[in-house]
Amino acid sequence: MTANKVTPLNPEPDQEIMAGKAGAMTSRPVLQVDGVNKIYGNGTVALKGADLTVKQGEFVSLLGPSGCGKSTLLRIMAGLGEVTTGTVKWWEQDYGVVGSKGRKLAFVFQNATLMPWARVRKNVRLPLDLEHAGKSPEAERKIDDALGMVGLQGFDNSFPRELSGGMQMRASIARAMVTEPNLLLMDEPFGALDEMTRNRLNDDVLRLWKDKGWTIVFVTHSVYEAVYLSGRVVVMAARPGRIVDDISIEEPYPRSPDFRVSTEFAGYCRQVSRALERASAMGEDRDEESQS
Amino acid sequence: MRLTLPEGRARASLLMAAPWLFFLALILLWELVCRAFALPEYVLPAPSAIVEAFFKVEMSRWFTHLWATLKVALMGFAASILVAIPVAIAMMRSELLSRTLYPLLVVIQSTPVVAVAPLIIVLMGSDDPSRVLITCLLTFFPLVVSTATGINETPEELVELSRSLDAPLRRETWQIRIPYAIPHIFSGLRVAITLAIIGAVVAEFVAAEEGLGYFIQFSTSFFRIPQAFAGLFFLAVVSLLLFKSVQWSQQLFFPWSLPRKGSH
Ligand SMILES: Nc1ncnc2c1ncn2[C@@H]1O[C@H](COP(=O)(O)OP(=O)(O)O)[C@@H](O)[C@H]1O
Ligand SMILES: [Mg+2]
Repeated sequence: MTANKVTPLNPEPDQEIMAGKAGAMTSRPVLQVDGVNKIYGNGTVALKGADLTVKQGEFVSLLGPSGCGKSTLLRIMAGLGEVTTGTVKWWEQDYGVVGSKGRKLAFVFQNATLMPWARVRKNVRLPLDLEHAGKSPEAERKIDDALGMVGLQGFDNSFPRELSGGMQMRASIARAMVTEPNLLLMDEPFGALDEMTRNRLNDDVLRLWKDKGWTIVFVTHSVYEAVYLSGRVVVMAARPGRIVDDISIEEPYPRSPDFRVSTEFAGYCRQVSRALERASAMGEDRDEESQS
Repeated sequence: MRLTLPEGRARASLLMAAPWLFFLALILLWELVCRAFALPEYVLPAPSAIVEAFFKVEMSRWFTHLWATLKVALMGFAASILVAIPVAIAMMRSELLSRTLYPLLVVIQSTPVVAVAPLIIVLMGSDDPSRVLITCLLTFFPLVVSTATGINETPEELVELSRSLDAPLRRETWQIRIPYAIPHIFSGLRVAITLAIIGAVVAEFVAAEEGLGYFIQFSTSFFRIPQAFAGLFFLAVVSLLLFKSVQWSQQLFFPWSLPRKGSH
């Protein structure tokens, strides 16, 4: 991985990425994780030597068995939680140096975690309230936009409990969008939903990603979801948590449900599954080593 | 053994009426026992004797005593809220503070207030401030603990959301943590309001010239047992009403914080 080499900004990076061309590699890094180790207080080695560069406009999935450090890596990417060693940079700037100003990122969690007492609009507004408090027409417009984009217009005054699981997740995505982030970090966002809803939301996320020109890092443990969504699937292994493979999915965007039933899709899924099997086999080898 | 209940509305009204009917039956039984065994009043006065004693005391006297107790209890309760909630928030913000204060709070809580009350009266005089302090000592701890518990109940994700936006702690506290703590704060308040009455009564036992606690003690020392019982029941009703008003204010101002009945 060419983590340290920073290439100049490509004139039109987004178009190339949308087209799924190899030229994406020339665009500008949004996020650089260099040699990150993370050891928790209890001695768990959650990440060992993680290197990962995410470029402007990319859709990257982190795939791996539970406990392999996906959430840990994502939290580190968000600047939450200290790294034990190594560095994380956003937009070519070291967060430790520039402070939070350079980070325009948002988080979507596995659970919608909407505040049960607040109506949908208030929930979506939360990041704005946390950032600068006070209501402005600008803020209201952002909220309307976000609600519209996720198809929740007209649900402003609903309470979270009145929404289905899928709609709650949409509200949660709207909440992430409202700060107009460049980088969206999603931690198994649809893991708790039924497959139909999940597929629909997958298409919605792809549409939003394209419209908004976001960069997305998407954690999942579903091979199909990873392949369907991403331009790159980063495969991780557990004990210790580490990155073991980085597979490009060359299928051009926009992708439609037809892609799900294509032979290419099946091929990619097979390739990624094998990488995942190899990764877990490696983990087992290590277990045996450590036992003897 | 299972009691089979009728269905629908009949069942609902039976459930509503059951505690009242039980209470009524208890009173009747009490009355019967007193009459059947001709118990003397100083052993156990009959309910009818208690009611009679209640109406023998002038209403204005009842209200003087009630107001004296209520004033101390409510002032102690209010002071406790004003101190306990900020302390709980401060303790949540600073681990140092929480580690420093927590043992002290436990010591205060585990010292019997009845034993400390005379000392407070001696040190601070037998006026309202010392009575309010005694009340506070009793109500403070449950409020701090419930508020702190509630504040820590906030989902980790929302705290992280706030951190990832570098939101100031003040906004994080108001926007997320306090609302999540509301149900817990209210369970603390329900405990605290009844403790406040106990605190006020304890203070009156030690030194007072009016108040329902004083009235009960005074009646007992003159062997006016039915009158003491009347004071006791009056106190119990007041205490219950205060407890209910805490519940009502939660229903009124924070209906979302109540546990949902049934499911959708
Ligand atoms: N706060 C923590 N303290 C100690 N260990 C942790 C903590 N968070 C996660 N871990 C451990 O680190 C490893 C990686 O966890 P995580 O990043 O949540 O994995 P994933 O998201 O891939 O399931 C796991 O073994 C987990 O038990
Ligand atoms: Mg996880």
